[in-house]
Amino acid sequence: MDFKTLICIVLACLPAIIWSYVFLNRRDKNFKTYLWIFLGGTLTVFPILGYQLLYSNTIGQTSYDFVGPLRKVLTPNMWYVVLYSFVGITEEFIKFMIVKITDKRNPEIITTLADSLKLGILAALGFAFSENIIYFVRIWTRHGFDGLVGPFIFRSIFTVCAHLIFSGIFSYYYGISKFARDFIDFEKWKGEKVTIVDYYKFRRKYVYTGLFLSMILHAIFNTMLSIKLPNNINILFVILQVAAMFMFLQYLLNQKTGNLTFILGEKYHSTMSVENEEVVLELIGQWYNEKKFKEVIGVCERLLKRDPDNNVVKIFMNKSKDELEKLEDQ
Amino acid sequence: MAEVKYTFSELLVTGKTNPIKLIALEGILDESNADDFAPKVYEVIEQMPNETSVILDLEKLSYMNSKSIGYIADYYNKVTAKGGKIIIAKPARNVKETLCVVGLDQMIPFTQTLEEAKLQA
Repeated sequence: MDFKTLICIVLACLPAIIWSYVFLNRRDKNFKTYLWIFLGGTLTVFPILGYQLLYSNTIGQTSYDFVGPLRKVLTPNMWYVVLYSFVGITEEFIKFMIVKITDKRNPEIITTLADSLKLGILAALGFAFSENIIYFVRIWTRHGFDGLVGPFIFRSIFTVCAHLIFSGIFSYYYGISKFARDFIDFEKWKGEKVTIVDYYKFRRKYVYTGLFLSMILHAIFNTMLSIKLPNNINILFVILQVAAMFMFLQYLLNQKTGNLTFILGEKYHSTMSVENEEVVLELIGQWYNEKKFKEVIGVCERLLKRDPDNNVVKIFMNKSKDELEKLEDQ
Repeated sequence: MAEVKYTFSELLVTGKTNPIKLIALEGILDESNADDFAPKVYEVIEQMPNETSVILDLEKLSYMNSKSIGYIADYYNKVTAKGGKIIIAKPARNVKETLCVVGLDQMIPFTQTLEEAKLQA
């Protein structure tokens, strides 16, 4: 490894350490596992590199202009939209697969929505780390070390943060889909009519919504970075987009519902009869709809003493706490 | 349709200006009859003079649905607004369990006997 690459690796470490400090808790129960996911995330850059290599060794080698006909119908800006959207969508899909595979192999890691979100952030951090090394080496080679300062600052602050947010969003929604049964039961006790079909619909809806949101946001981000608009207004847009998404992610992380722990697998048996517990759940649902959040929290606290592993009661309690905070903020 | 029987009566207690309203329930209060029963209680509460107490005798009531529990919380608000008290007497074990988890026992006194209820009224 040459000196230039080594320095670039050190430089790429800086944003990775700073952003992991911002988003992750060092005392987290899964800290070691998170490190492995970060390392896994660093490998996700290779499919993108592979696709670039494939392109340059196949289409790039031929004399036929494959994209020429497209250029006739697309303006340069539109061409960038298509190209960079595709890259963004591919990256999000790969990061999503990392989260999904990790969860399928170790389902005990994600027991809260915040856990799921952290998993996505870690995969993205690994990806951004590898991508930064490649970009830094390229920029240093083409423009010298002085030319690297600006891109280093911009990528460390905005690009890395954007990557974390894109993946944070899909992984949060992935978490909701993982606990679909409990969220569906929550809807049921709120008075919605739900069936087993709704359970599968719910799961798909949240997985697709999360992926769609992160892909679209990534595509917009990439496009705005690549097109040229007067007075660099596109850069201002990117900065505003990252700031808005950062606030949205912090909001998700701070939600009480996001931090409630879902019990997976074997649960403690309730000390209440099913019939009586159903009566209480019905009442909780009614009061929740009537916005009697303080009463709901009180009932949930008492019910959890009788049935400590009831995820639906926990959802009601934490959602009520979130709603109360919103009302107090108004 | 589930069946619920109810009787409304008055108890005269020495030292009390107004007689206590006694509402005794028997059977099951569920979705099919809770809304029919509630207006009758509201009528009694509305017509009774201020500072009148109400005893709900739930000894023979074997099941209450969530709506009925919500109504009890509402009766409590209306009776206390008129300066009266509401007491639940002799609730069946499962009904009492549900009411306690809901937290009604923190607002409304529960008694084992009707005599105790009269003393608390």
